[in-house]
Amino acid sequence: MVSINNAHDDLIHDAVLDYYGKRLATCSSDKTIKIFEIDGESHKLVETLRGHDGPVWQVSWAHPKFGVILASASYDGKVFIWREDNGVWTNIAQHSIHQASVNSAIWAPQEYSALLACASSDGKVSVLEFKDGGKIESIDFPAHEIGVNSVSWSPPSVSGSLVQTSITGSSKSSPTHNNIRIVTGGCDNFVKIWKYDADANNYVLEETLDGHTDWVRDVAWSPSVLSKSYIASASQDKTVIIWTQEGTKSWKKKLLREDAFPDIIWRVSWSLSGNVLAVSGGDNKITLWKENINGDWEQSGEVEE
Amino acid sequence: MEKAGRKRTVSNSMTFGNTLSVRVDEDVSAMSISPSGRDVVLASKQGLFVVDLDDPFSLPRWLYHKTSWEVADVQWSPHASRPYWVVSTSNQKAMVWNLSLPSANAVEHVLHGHFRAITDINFHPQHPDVLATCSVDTYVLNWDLRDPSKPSQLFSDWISGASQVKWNRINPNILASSHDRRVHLWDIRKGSVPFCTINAHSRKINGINFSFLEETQLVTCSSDGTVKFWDYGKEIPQEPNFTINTEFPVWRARYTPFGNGCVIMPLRGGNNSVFLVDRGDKRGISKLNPVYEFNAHTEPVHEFLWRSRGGYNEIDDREFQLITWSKDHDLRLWPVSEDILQSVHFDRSKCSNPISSRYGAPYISYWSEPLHGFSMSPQYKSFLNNTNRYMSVPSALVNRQRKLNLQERQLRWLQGVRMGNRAGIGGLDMFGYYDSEICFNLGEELGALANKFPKVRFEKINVSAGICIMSMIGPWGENGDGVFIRLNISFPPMYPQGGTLPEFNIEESLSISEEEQLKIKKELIKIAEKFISVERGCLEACIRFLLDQVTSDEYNFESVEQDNLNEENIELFNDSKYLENSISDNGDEPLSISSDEEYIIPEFEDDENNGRTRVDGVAQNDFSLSSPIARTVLDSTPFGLGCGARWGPDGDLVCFFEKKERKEETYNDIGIHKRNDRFRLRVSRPIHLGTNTSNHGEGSSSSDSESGSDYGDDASKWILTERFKDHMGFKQRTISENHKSVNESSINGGGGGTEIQSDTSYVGNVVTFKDYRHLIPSRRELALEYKIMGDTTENLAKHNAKIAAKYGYFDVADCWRLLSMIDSPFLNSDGHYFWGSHPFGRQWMVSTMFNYFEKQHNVQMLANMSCLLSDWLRRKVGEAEKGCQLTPGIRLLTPFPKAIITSQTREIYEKGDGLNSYRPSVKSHDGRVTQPSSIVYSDSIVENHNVNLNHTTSNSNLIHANYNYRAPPRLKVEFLNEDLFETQQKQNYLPLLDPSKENKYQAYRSQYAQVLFTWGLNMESLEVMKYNYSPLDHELGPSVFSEHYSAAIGLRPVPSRLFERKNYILLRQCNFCGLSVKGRFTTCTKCEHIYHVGCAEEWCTEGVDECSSGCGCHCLLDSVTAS
Repeated sequence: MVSINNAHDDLIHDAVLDYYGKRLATCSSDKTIKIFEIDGESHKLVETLRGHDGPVWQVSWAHPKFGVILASASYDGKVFIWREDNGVWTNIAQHSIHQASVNSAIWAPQEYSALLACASSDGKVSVLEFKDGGKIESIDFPAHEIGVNSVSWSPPSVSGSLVQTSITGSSKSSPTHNNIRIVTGGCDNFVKIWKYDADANNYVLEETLDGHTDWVRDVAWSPSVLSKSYIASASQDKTVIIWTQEGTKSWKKKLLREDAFPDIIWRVSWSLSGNVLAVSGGDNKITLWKENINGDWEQSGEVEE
Repeated sequence: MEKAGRKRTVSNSMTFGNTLSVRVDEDVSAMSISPSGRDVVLASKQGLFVVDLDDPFSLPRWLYHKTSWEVADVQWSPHASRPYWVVSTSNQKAMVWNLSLPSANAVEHVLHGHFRAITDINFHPQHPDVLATCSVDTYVLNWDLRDPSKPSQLFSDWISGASQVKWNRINPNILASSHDRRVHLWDIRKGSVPFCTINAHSRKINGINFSFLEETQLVTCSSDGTVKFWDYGKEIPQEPNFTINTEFPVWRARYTPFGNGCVIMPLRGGNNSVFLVDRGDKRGISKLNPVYEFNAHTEPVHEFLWRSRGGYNEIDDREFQLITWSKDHDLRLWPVSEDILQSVHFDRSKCSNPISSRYGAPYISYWSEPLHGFSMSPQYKSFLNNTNRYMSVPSALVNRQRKLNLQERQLRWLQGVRMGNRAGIGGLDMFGYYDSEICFNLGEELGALANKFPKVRFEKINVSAGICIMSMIGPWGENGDGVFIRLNISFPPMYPQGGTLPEFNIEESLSISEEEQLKIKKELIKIAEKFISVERGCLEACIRFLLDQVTSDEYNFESVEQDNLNEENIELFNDSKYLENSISDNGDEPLSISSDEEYIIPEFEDDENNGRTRVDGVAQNDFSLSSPIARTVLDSTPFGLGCGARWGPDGDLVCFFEKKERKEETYNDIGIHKRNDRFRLRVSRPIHLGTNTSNHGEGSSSSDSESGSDYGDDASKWILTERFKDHMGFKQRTISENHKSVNESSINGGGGGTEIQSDTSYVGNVVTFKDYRHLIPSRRELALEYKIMGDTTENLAKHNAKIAAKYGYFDVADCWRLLSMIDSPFLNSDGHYFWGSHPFGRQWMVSTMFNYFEKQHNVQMLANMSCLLSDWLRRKVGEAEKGCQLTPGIRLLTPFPKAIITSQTREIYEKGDGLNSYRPSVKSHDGRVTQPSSIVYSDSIVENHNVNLNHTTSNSNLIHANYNYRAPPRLKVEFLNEDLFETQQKQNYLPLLDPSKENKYQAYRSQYAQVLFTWGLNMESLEVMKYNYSPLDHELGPSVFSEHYSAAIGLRPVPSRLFERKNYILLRQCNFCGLSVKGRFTTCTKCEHIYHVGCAEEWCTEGVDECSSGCGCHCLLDSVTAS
C-alpha cells in the first residue's frame, strides 16, 4: 500500500483523495498543501501550494465537473480556492471574511452546485456559492457561540425533487435547492442542523442536537441515501454519537461505543457507500465501525501507525 | 494590622458602592469572602490570594500552596467568631488555613476523610466549628474542627459522586447534597438514609441552595438548563413549585440574601452575564425573565458573592455589592442600587432574615502578614515544621521568590485595577491598557507608567500609603554623563486632586553634586505644580525630566494636549542614549521592602522573553504583548489533529499519523506536549507509576480530561479554562507556562520520579493507504459484470445471480435467483400469474429484501434491484421487442421513450398500430371466471378489434400500468366479466416496486451511479441513471440539467473564445431562428451555440438532438439554460 513518510515538516491535519482516487491532497501545520499523484502503489509529489499564513486545517476537492479545484481552510482565517489547469496550480479565489481560524471547508455534493461551507472559530459558518462567470456570493450566519469546529453537508436526497420539478416545469426554483441542509459542530457542545431557506437566502436552524459534554470536534453526515439519515459527531468528551433520522421524525441519538474512547476524538469519516465510519483520536489510532443487521455498531478494523 | 495608619471602616470603604475591576493573572478557580466583607480570597493552583477590597491596588497576600489539582472550592468561614478561617480543597483533602498565622505556616488543619476529589465545602450557618464537605467518592462528610482528625459524620449516596452540599440556613439539623440528578436531604440526627430524595433534573445538578426565608425551600440548578424551586415541607416533592427554563446550562442559582430573589449564573452562554430574577410566589414554568442582568465580563462568570454592610437595627439598613469572578480573569465589584434591591421585594421595614453569623465581624483585612511573621524564633519555626507536615513553602523557595522582581509584579497588578466608570465595559484597548492617559488616581498612573518606561525601576510602591521609590539613570553627572538617581516620592492622600504637591526626595549620591540635586528638586516641584493645578498626575513628566531633561516649559495645557505630546516624546526617548543602558547593568539591586510588605510574590523569573522586553527600550507593543493583563479576544481554535482518516472513493482509507518517539513511554507524568499546548495538554500515563507520582498524574490530568468522569461537569469546566488559557496565543501565556513547569520541576525534583517532558514527542508524520474494500458491500467486480438492461428482468436477474455466486456473494446471488422467479409473470401449470400482490411479490418479499440490503448499507444491490424491478425496464423491453430495435444482450442506449401511457382503469399501454399491440386477456380455461386473486391469461390469440384501444396522455394521473410482456408474436386481449375484475385487476398488476417510494429508488440509483462513476464505470453509471428519468423528464430535460451545469461555468476557466469579439456576435444569434438573443437563452457547453429557449424547445420536439448549426454536437444533452 502507498505510504508517504514525512511529507510535511509538521503535523498533518488532513489528507484527502480526489473523486477518482488519483490525487491526494495533504495539508499541515507547516502552512503548505501538497498534491500527490497516486498510481497504484507509487506516488509522486506534483505540487506544493503555499500562501497560507498559518496551519492549514482542512482541504476539500470539488466535484470534477467543476474542474480540478481544491479548497483549503487555515488558521490564518482564510479559505483559498486552488485550481489546476494543464498542470499549473493557481490560487483563484480567497475568502477572508472570518475573524478567526477557519477550521473546516467542505464542498457540497455536486447536485447542490458549487457550494463551499466554511466553519470558523469566530462562531460563524459561511457558505460560498461560485456562480457563473466567476462571481462568488457568500452567506454567513452565526452558528456556535464560542467557535465552529466542523461542518458537513447532507447528501442530496432526491426526495421528490427531480420528479416534482419536472412536473411543475419550473426551471427557476432549482430541483435540489429545496432540501439543502448542513450540520455543524462547535464549542458550545451542540450539533446543529441548518436548512437552506430560499426565501430568506440564508440557512435557518432546524434542529439542535444536545448530547456531548465537551466541544464537538467533528461532524459528518453520511453520504448514503438510505431510509435513515446518519450523522456522526466526535467530541472532546471522548465519545462519538451517531444521530439517525427516519423520514422527518426526530433525531435519535446512539453512542457509537457505550464506554468512552481512550482519548478525545478528532475526526469521523463515512465511506462513500456502505456507511463504514472511520474514527480517529488523540491516541493516534483509527478504528472502523460498521452497523450490523441488528442496528448495533461493531468495530470492524483498527489502524495504528 | 492596618496599612499606612489610615483607619478604615466599612462605611468609608472607597470601593463599596463603586464599580471596580481587578485583573488577576492567575488561574483562579474559586473565590470566597470574609465575614466582614473586606477581603476576598481567590484560590488557584498556586495557592490562595487574599485581596483587600478596600485597597485593591496592593498586591494580594499570597499563601503559597502549589498543587497540581484545581481548587474546586474555597470557603471563608462566615462566622464573625472565626474570621480567620479559610478552607480550600486540594483533591481529596481540605486545607483549613488560619490567616492570622504567617503565610508560610498558615495551614492549621488538613481534613482528610475523602477518597477522591472534594467538590464542595459548606460551613454550618450556626455552628462556627462545623462544616460539611462532599466529594466525587459519593460521600458527604461532616467535620467538627474541634476534632479535625476524622469526620464527625458521614452520609453517602453510594451511586453517584456528590456535586454540592449545603446546610439548611434555618434548621441546623438539615443538610442537602446533590448527586448527579438527585438531591438528598439528610437529617444529622437520623443517620444513614436521606429523609427525602428529590429526582430533580434530567441532567447533572450543579448547584443547590436553601432559602434564607423559608426553612423547607430550596433551589436547584442543572446542566439541563433549568432552575427549579422546591418545597419539601409537606411531602416529598415530585414536581417543583416553580421552574425557570434558561437557554444555557446553569452553574449556580442562589437565593439572594435580600428580598425574595434568585441569582442565576450560567455555566456557559447567557451572554457571560449573571441574572437576577424575582422569585416572588410564582408557580409553574417560566422562561428566564431577569429583573437585572449584570453584564460586563467577556467570558463566563465563575463565581459570585454578596458583600454587604449594615445590619439589623430597627430597620434593615443593609447595602449590598455583588462580586464576580470570571474566566476572563477579572474580579469585578458591582454596586447594587436600591432599585435592584426593590425589584426583588426587599422590604427594609421587615427584619425577616435571621441574624447573619457574619454580623459583628471586625472590619479588618487579612491581607497583611501577621507581625510576628518573620520574626519567629527558630525554635518555634522548627516546631512548626515538625508538627505541620503541610508547611507550604520550603524556605529556600521563599528566599528565591523574595529576590524576584517585586516592582514589576506590583506595576502589573496596578495596571489591572480599574475603578469607577472605567471598570465598565470597554476602555481597554487590545493591549490591555487605556488609550486615554488621564489617570484618576495614583494606582492607575503608576500602572500606566510601567509600560512607558521600562528603564525606570520602581523599587517600592505602596499606593495606599502614597509611597513610591524609583531609580533610573539620567544625564546628571559631570559633562552630562549618565548617573544613577534614586527618587523617593510621597504622595498626598487625595493626589492628584486637592492641590497638595507630592514630596520629592533625591537620595544623596556622590555622583550628583548637591547643587545639581537642588536644581532637580526645584524643577520637579515646578512640574508637579503645573500638573496638580489641573489635577493631573505629574509622575510621567517628572520621569521625563529626570531621564531627558524635559522641563516644565514643554508642557502647555492650553494648547497642546498632554496625550499628543506623549506620543512625540516617545520618539524622542528612543534616541536617548540613556535608555540604551539597562539599569540592571549596574549590578545594583536595591530592594527596600518595609516589614509590612513582606508578602511573597508568585515567581516570575527573568527568562529570555522577559529580559528582552526590559532591555528593548520603549518598545510599547512588544512590552504590552508580554504584559500579563493583555486582554485578548478568545481564540477558540481547537488544536489541529495529528492523526486522522478519510475515505477515498473506492474503499481506500487514507490514514495520517503523527509519528511518535517510543521513548515517550518512559517519561513519567505532567507531560505537557509543549508543541501541542495550544490545545492538547496531554498527559501520558504509563502504568508503572509510583503512588506519589500517580497522584500527580491524576491531578494534572484534570486539566487534560483523563479523569473527566471523576469530576463530571466540573472537570470539563476546568478543562475548558485550561484550554482557554492555553491557547490565548499570547507570549505571556507561554512564559507563565514555562514557569509552571520550572516550578513543578523544582518542587517535584526532590520527590524524584518526575521528569518534564519537553518538545520531543513529535518526530514526523506518515500518510498511508489502507484497503478496506472488504468492508464495503458495493463491489466493483460485480458492477463490471452485472447487467441491468437489454433483457427481461428475469434473465438479467439470472445473469446477475451467476455473477454474484461466482464472486462468492451467496446472499446476493440467492436474492437475484428469487427475483428472477417472481419476476416471471407466468406459471407453468395453470396459466399466468402476476406476483405483485402476492406475499412473494412486493407485499412482503421485495420489501424484505430491500430492508435487508438497506441494513447492510448495500447500495449496489439496492440500486440494482430498483433498476431491475422497475417497470421502466419492462416498458423498455416491451417497446424494444416490438420495434425489434434491440437484441438481448446489447446495452441499451436509445433515447428516452417519448410516449407516456397511463391507465386509469383498464386503459392499456399501447404504441404503434393496433395490430401489433399486446393486450392482456382475462379468461379462464373453461371460460368461467376465475378466483379474483388469480387472473389467468390466455395464450390463445383472440382477435378482437372491439377492445377500446386508448392512447392517453393524461398527466393528472400517473399510475403507470405495469405489464409484463414476454414476446409471443401476437396477443389478443379479451375482457370477460370485466366488471368483476375491475378492482382486482389493478391490484394484480401491482409493480414490484412501490411507486410511492419511487423517490427512494431514485436516490439509490443516483448514489450508485455516483459510485460507479468514481470507479470509472461511466457507461454503467449512465445506465443506472437512465432509470431515474421518466419520459416526462426528457421533455423538460434542460431544466433538470441546468442546475448541474450553470455552476460549472463559475469555476471552469472561462473559454477565451467567449470574449473574442467575432464569436461574441455569433454567439448572440440564435442558431435556430437567426435572430439575436436577448434574455433567456439555451446554450451548449461544448459548441457554445445558443438558442432562444423557445427555439430550443421547438427544435428538440422535432426529435433531433443535434445542434441546429450542424456542428454535430449533441446539444440537447449538454445544454444549459441561462438568462
